[in-house]
Amino acid sequence: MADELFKVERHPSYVTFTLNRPEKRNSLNEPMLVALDNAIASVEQDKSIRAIILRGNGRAFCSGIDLAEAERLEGGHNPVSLERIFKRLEHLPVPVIAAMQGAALAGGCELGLHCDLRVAADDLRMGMTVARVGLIVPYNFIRKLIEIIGTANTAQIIFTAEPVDAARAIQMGMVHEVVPAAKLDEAAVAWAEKVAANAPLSLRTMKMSLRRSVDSSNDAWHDDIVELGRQVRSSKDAKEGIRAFLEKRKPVWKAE
Amino acid sequence: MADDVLKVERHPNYVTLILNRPEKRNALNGVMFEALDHALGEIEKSPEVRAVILRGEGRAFCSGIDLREIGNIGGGGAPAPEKIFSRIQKLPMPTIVALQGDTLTGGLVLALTCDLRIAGAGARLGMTPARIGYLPTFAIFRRFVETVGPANTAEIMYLADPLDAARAREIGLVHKVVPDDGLVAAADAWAAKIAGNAPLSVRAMKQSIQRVMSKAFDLEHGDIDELGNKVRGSNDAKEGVRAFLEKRKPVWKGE
Repeated sequence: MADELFKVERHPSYVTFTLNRPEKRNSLNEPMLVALDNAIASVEQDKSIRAIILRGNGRAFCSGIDLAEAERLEGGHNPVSLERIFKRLEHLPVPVIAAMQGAALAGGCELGLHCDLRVAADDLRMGMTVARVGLIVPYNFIRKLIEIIGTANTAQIIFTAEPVDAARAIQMGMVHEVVPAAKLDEAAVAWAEKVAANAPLSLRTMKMSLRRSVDSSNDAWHDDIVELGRQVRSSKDAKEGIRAFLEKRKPVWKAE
Repeated sequence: MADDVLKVERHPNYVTLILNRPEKRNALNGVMFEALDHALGEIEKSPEVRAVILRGEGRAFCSGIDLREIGNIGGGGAPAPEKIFSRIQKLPMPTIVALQGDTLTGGLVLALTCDLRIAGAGARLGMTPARIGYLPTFAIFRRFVETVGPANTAEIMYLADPLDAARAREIGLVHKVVPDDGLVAAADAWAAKIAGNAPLSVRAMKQSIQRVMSKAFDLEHGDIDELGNKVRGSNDAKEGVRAFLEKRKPVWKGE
């Protein structure tokens, strides 16, 4: 069952993870997150793997957490489980390459950002749309945005809640390369093969150095923000936002 | 002798240092590090120097540390590369580096120790240690992350594929790209511009920038240094250097 929603393909020196729920633009539900978590666990200790490609089948890379199922996810729409799994993805010992087409939105955008390298199809739209539905971006996800694109670009992404196109994404440094949509898989494989041809011990230790250089800023105290996040997620506005989204109408905000 | 491999040109209020080993694409060897050590000593003592240009003679800025000498450099009391790199970085006046052709590995690290980088349109900038099973030090990583951020550092290091001048400009690895034949003139123009500004202001500004960035350098990373020594002493690293010198593909064993 999980195999249908999430596929793991072994190649001689790298592994491809594929989100496979194309009819829902690969929006993340519980079985997919469990499958992703298991797939990460299966490669963490495997020394023969030198790179990983993460891609999505169909028109979109990933449209985020499935809001229709959000209530059933661990902690309602509290993305705690998402944070834990993405952190694990970020700390995989080998380079991870995201191949993104169509849409990489909210949780899907963060999924791509937690990889080391990002190749985009020219039809990609990337964005954090959560402010539209009255939810919030957790502290660690904001930190990830700042790590990749800086404070000024992060402000644009989270406050406007408006996705950016591939051309703007590469300007911001959000993706490393933009290719025609038909060439996306080919480009991701070229990057994986290039990485996998390099010395494995060098790669693993370089990734440790790179993570260490930036991880200290993740350690800033933010318990108060976590608490505030809990309040926002359980607010009336958040319920209204999700209801309006599912009913395809504009939400009415009350700031409560 | 040292004068041969490093030329020092005095201008009214700035100094140009020229790597001069063009037949080896200015690969850094022990003699060059000694010459740099000496030249830096002179500049550090000269308050009238208001800017420094670093450039390379010939088709390439610098192809890195000479792999034929990599075992000997820094031994026998000679200045180690990291010591020279950190001294350039700490020079009290702004430094400008002019990059043409190949700027690879040790050559790119050398370029990152400078404050401002101008590239010729034909420049290629890259870190290739992963190709030979080698590993840059933590201090080098910190310089890359500081200059281009973690995501672009990942591209440069993991792919080990040099970037062209346009991509280097796009990610902020260089400040400006000019036609190759206009490179020296562009560097001179920047040096003259900086030297025309108030010297006390400029020196204090450089200190401010370095102080802002200094905190991340203090991170505990003894474990990574230890791991790095293991990678550099691994069979893969020996195989990588051997394969490079023999112009063949290395066979990695992950040990």
